[in-house]
Amino acid sequence: MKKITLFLIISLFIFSTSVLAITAEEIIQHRDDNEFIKTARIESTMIINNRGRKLEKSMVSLIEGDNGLTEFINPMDRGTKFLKRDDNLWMFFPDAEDVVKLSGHMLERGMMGSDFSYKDMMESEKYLELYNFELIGEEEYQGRECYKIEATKVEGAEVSYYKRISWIDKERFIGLKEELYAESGRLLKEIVVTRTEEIQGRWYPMESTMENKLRENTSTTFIINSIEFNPEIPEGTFSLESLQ
Amino acid sequence: MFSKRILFITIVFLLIVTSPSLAYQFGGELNTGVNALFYENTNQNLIYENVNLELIFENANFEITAKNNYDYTDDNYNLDISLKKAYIRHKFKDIRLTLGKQPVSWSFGSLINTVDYNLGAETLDQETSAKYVNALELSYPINWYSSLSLVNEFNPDYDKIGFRARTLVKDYDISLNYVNKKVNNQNNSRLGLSLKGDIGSVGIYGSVLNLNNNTNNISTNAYMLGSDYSYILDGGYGNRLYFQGEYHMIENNEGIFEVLNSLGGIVFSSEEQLMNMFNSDYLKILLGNVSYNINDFSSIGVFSITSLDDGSTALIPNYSNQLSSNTSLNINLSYLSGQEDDFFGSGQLLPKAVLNVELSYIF
Repeated sequence: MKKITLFLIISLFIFSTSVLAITAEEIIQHRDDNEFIKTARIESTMIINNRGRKLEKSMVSLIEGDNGLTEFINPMDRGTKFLKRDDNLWMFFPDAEDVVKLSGHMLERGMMGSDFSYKDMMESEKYLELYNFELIGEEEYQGRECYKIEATKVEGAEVSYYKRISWIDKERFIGLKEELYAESGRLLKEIVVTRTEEIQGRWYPMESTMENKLRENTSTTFIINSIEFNPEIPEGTFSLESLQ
Repeated sequence: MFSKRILFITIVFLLIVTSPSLAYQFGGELNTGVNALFYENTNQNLIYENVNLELIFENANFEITAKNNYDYTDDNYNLDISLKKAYIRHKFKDIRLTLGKQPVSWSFGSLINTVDYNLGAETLDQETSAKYVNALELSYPINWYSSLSLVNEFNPDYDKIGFRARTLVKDYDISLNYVNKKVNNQNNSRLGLSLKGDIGSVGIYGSVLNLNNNTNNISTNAYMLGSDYSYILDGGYGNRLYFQGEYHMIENNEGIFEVLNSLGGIVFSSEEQLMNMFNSDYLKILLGNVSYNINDFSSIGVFSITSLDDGSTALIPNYSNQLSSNTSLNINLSYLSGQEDDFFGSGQLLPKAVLNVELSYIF
């Protein structure tokens, strides 16, 4: 009888641990469910800090899959628009009211002088398709229990960073901090999420700061003033005509 | 006279059907600056202030410019107020119509665009005034990347129409442009083709132009090949150096005078002087632009144009600094290295160097 009880306890323990243990891929899948955008309308502000000096830029963006349309509304850049279709980037110059295709290498440039590159802002694939993941620990961060996950680039995938280490909230499945590395192992950038909100049933980072670790005392804070998931986007929005 | 009438009707229409309370964007720009011109034997200093006010409605755009120039050398004031934009726009089911004073620009990212609707050097800001014309434009988008557009300009001095077809083929932006201009008995047409895309991480572009004076049966061809590339310091993740270069070949005959308008600011006394300057069949020009972002706020760069026939060069180093979210400082120096008879020589008509310092506030 005792043997049977012991067998049942051991079986139950093995069964429960195998069911309860969550894999890195599952964590990322949950995170993607929250943070991956199929369609959205976002109003946001970017604050660029450099050694005590500050620049503020505001924009309205429409996103649908691989396509994105952003219009800047702050005075200095008012009317400047970007259209991203797959890996192609188009820019509208408001003074001449002209649309010009930007060269591919411009995608890696800091967007309007910020620490976020055009690629950072417009990388639209799910992380699961771009990286291999490993759960490397669990840590408390900002008072929240987090999974610590290391992501390494899938061979052949076109991504801005070779490796990412992420702190993901265990309860809300939202990234709270991320370190971005070069293939050499050098830390390039660090993103810290300072405000999250539950919107339409999903947790989303509303305010985050990216620090460029290769420059001293520079950072860019990205604030989402409003976000609407799955809005109705009129046909033809992501076209050269709509840039005009 | 006709163009003034069109402009007047457009303005009145704008003022009647719209009011500032309906404007969804209102803004402007204040510039103040100094131009110091250095000639062979004398100098001239100009101080200027510009005010631009822009009112953007859902289907209309209205922009007015006031320029106040003060010539420090002869104590002379000059105030000029003009309409920069005044047009209405309406989108029908398949066609977009724009009527009034509007910018017409067919750029594709080159430093000098010989296949544009109006010719002017973009990097030298020569295009700014030339791009604004009184016209009717009809645009028909075929799909997200292809469109046809037709421009009919209203000008009492000439008749001018333009047609542009633009599409994307294997990620290459391709544009076919046609312009016809009739002045008195002269009938000029320009047919141009431009292309822009990438080969790996290098941007490449090019254009071909055929200029025809149908009255005199003169045909002039111009070819251009250009490239741009970014080099990232600190092992690929630091500050960025940006390079752009262009090579132009322009056929050396009577038509060269008009094509060279695209260089802007270069003054020749006659077509003969220009044609006799070179023995070669083609005028060959090399352009270069290098810029470096010092930090998130400031950048430094050098733009150059060199005549490969006589080696003369125009050099334009520049520095810009965004002092705050609304204020920026720009410093430019233009320097002509050539002698009087050289292509990029100052002679008596142009200053040897021009220094421009400008402060801008945008609201």
